[in-house]
Amino acid sequence: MVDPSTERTTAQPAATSSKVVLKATDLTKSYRVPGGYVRAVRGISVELKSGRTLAIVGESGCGKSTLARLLVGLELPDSGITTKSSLIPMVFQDSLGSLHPRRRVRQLIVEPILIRDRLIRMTPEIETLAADLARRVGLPIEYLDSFAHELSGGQRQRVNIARALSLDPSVILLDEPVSALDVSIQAQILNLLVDLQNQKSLAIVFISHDLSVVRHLAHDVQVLYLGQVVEEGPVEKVLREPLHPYTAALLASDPALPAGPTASVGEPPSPYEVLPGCAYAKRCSFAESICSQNIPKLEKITNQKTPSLTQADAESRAVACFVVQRSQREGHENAIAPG
Amino acid sequence: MLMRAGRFFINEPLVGLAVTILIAMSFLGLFAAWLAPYGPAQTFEGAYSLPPFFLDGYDDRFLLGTDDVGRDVLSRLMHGARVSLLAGLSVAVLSISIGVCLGAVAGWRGGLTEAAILRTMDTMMALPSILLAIVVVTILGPSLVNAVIAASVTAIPGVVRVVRAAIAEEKRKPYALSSKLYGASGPRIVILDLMPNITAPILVQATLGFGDGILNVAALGFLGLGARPPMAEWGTMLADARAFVESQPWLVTAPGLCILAVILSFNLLGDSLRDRFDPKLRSRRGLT
Repeated sequence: MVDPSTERTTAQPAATSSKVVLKATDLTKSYRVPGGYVRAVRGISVELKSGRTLAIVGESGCGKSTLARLLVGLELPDSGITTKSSLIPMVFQDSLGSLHPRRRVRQLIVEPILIRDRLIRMTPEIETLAADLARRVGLPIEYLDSFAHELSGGQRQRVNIARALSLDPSVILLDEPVSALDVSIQAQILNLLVDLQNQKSLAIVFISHDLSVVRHLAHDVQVLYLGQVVEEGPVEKVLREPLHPYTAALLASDPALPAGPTASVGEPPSPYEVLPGCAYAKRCSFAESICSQNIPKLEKITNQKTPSLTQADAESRAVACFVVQRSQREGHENAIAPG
Repeated sequence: MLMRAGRFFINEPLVGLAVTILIAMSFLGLFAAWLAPYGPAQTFEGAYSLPPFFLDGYDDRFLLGTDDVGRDVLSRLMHGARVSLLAGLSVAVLSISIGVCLGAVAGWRGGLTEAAILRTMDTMMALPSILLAIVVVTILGPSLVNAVIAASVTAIPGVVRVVRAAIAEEKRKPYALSSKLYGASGPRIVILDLMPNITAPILVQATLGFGDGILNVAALGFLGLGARPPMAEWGTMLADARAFVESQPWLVTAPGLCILAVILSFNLLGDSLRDRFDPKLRSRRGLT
C-alpha cells in the first residue's frame, strides 16, 4: 500500500501518437495436471504503447504470472500471437532468487550484455556501463562489489531493475516487484519506475494484486479473473467507477479503501472446472440466468450513458459482463453502482 | 584459516582424525619412492615370511615383516598407497566428469532425454556394483587401468542422479529463468549459472566415490582382475597373502587395515560434508 499523497508523481499523460511496443492477441495456455488440464490463460489480448504502464491485477491463481511468462516468452502459448518490438526483460517478485548468489552486483547488472555479446568476463567498457546503470536506478556505487545476499530487498530490486534496463528495452515487465518489500521501500521503487518511464518513455507491464500500488503507477489496467480479462480501461476510471461486479468486489476488499457493498462471496472456482457461463457467476450478486449459460465477451462500452463518463473515456473501456452490457445498451445508470 | 581448522578438529574429532589419516596416507604414497626403505618388488634372500616388530623372530630391517618371497611389507604398503589413492582419484575424476555431463543433460533437457538417461542408470544400479565391475573387466581384460574404468562405471549412476536432481531444482529458480530470458544458451546457463551452485552435492559424491573407487579397485585386485602381480596394490597384496592367513596373519592384516582406514576416512569425511551442506539432513539425524 502506498500513501495516496505520493500519487502525483504518476499519471503523466503519455504522448498521444506513441507507437505500440507490445501486442498480444488471444493468448491461451493450459497445463496438463493429474486428472485434466488447468486453463491458466483463456484468451487474453494485451496492447501496450510506449511510455504507458499497463497493470494486470487479480487474485492469486487468476493467471497473472502465466500471462507474464507468455508475454516475455518464457513459455509458449497454446494459441495466440505476441508481437514485441524488442526483448522484454522481466523483474521477479523474488529479488534474491533472481540474482545469481555468487556474482557481484557489477556483473549482475550487466548480465544481459554479457549474454548477448557471448562474454564470460567483464570488459572495461561494460564496467563503465554497470556503474552508469547503478546510477540510473539510484544504487550507490559502493554496492557494486557486494553480493546479492548482502543487500536489502529494496537494493536488490534496484539491481534487478538495472539489469532489466541494461539492454535499453522499450518494454519491461514486473511481476509483483514490490509486494515483498516494506511499505516505505515500495514507494521508493515505484517512484523510481515512474522516473525511469518519464526519462525514456519506457513502457511497463506491471503485475500486481495490490490496487493501491496499481493506482499509484499505472495508466491502464486489466482485471483478470480465472484466466480471462473481465474489465479493462484507464486506471483512474476503472478503479474509481468499476463496471464489472468482480472489479467492484476487488475494490471493496481493499482494506485501504472504505468497505463497499459488493464483496465477493466464497472462493474463486477451481481452474480445472469448465464452466458453461461466466466464471464469476457463482460469486456474483447480480448474476442472472444467462450468466451461467453463456460466456460473456470483452466488449467496448459504446453507448455510454453513465453521466460521469465522457464518450472518450467510455470508448477506452471494455467489460465482460452480460448485466453491465445490457444496462449500457439500454442506457441505464451503471448497473452495479451502489444504491 | 588455521583457527577454523583447529576448531573443526575439536568439534568433530572423528572427521579430524579421518582427514589426518588421508593426508598421511597421501604423503606416504606420494613420496613412497623416497620414504620407503626398499623398492616394492625388491626381494631379500633368506628373509622369507618374517613377522612384524611386535612378534618374536622380528628382523629390525623389516618393521612390518616380509612376505613369502622376501619383500618388505612396509615398503609394499607405501607403494600400494600410491597405487590405491591414484586409482581412487582416477575413479572419482572419471565418474564425476561423465556423471556430471549425463546428469546435467538429463536435468536440463528433461522429457525423453531425461527418462532415457535415468532408466539406463536404474538398470546399472539394479546390478550389484562388484558384479557390474567384473563384467566390465571381463570385457576389457584384467589390468589396473581397466579396474579403474570398471569402478568408474559402477560409480556413475549415483553421480548422475544427484546432479540431475540438483540441476532440475536450480533451473526453476528465477536467476536461471532470467538468463534464459536474456537469450543465454542451455550450455551457458548450465555451466556458468547452475554448476557453481551445485558444487556441494558434487563434492560429497566425489568424496564418497573416491573411497568406493579404492574399495572396488582393491576388490578387483583381490579377485585377480585388477593390478597384476608383482605390482604393489592393497587388494593384490591381500590376494597374495590369502594362502597364509593362518600361518602369517599379519600379511593380510596390514593391507586390510590400510584399506579399512582409508575407506572409513573417506566415508566419515563424505558424511560430514553432506551434513554440512544439507542442514535439513543434519537436523533430522540430530547432529549439530
